[in-house]
Amino acid sequence: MRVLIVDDSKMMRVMHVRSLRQAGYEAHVTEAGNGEEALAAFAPGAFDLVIVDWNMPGMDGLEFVRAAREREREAGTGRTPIVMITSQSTDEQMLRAKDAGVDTLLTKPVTADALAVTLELLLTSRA
Amino acid sequence: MRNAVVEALVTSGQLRTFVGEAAVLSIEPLCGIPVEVIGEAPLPWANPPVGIALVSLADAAGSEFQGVAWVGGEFAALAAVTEVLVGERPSSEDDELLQDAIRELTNIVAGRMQERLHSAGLRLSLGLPVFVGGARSLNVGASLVNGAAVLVQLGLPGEPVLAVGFAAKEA
Repeated sequence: MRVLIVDDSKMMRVMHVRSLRQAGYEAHVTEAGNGEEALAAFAPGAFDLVIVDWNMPGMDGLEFVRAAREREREAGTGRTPIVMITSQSTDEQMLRAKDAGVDTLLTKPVTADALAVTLELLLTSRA
Repeated sequence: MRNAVVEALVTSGQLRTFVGEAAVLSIEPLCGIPVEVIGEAPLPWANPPVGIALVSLADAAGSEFQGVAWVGGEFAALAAVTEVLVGERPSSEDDELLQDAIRELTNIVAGRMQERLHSAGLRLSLGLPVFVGGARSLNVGASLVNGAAVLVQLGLPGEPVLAVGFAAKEA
């Protein structure tokens, strides 16, 4: 599985990789430290999954998702599953994430089990 | 008005409860270890920490009110948390691994505080976490006054203790 992990925290990127492995996914991971780096790496159809943090310096996760979805619309390709991770979990945040094109919003701290269940639901529904 | 809400929460003891709950609900699942609130940390800190990470919480409605959430402690406690999270023991408070781990932990704690303060009528949005170490943390520790802080003992060898808190910034 080709996975793009976007987080300004190196520690969180490492933890997400560890969680994917614990969940049984053999992931080929591309890492990005902010939205700009992620957008440079992202191309429609290039990844099977994107895991992106919301709050980052520079281009944040929400801006990245909007830009990625726009690229997919222009290319006429399918939607890459996107899981956004945030420390804020208000109803307003969830609506904003959904409007931007996020498939699943997870609230930190995200455990390996929570990520595994989320991916099972998200990826199975698309299979 | 919003400072008055914080003062009422401090007086009633509810802010201390919020802070303790936020700390436990963040640290336990993230680190996979038991943690326990063992008491209140006086403000301002008598012995400011070696390192502290802070997240600003601004009024989502646009007033000038700002709060700050923090996690701080002595090097042994900060290093113990970092080692659990990253798998490596940092060499000093200047270590980027340590600063990254404590910033991220504070970000999560601030999110849990945000939920609880929202229920008390404060709608706040989070800023990005920053880490302050060394001499500068003395000034930061001394500026945290109008709020509440707790001491959180980690279920790790040596039972290291972190201080976790929230305070309204002076207008």
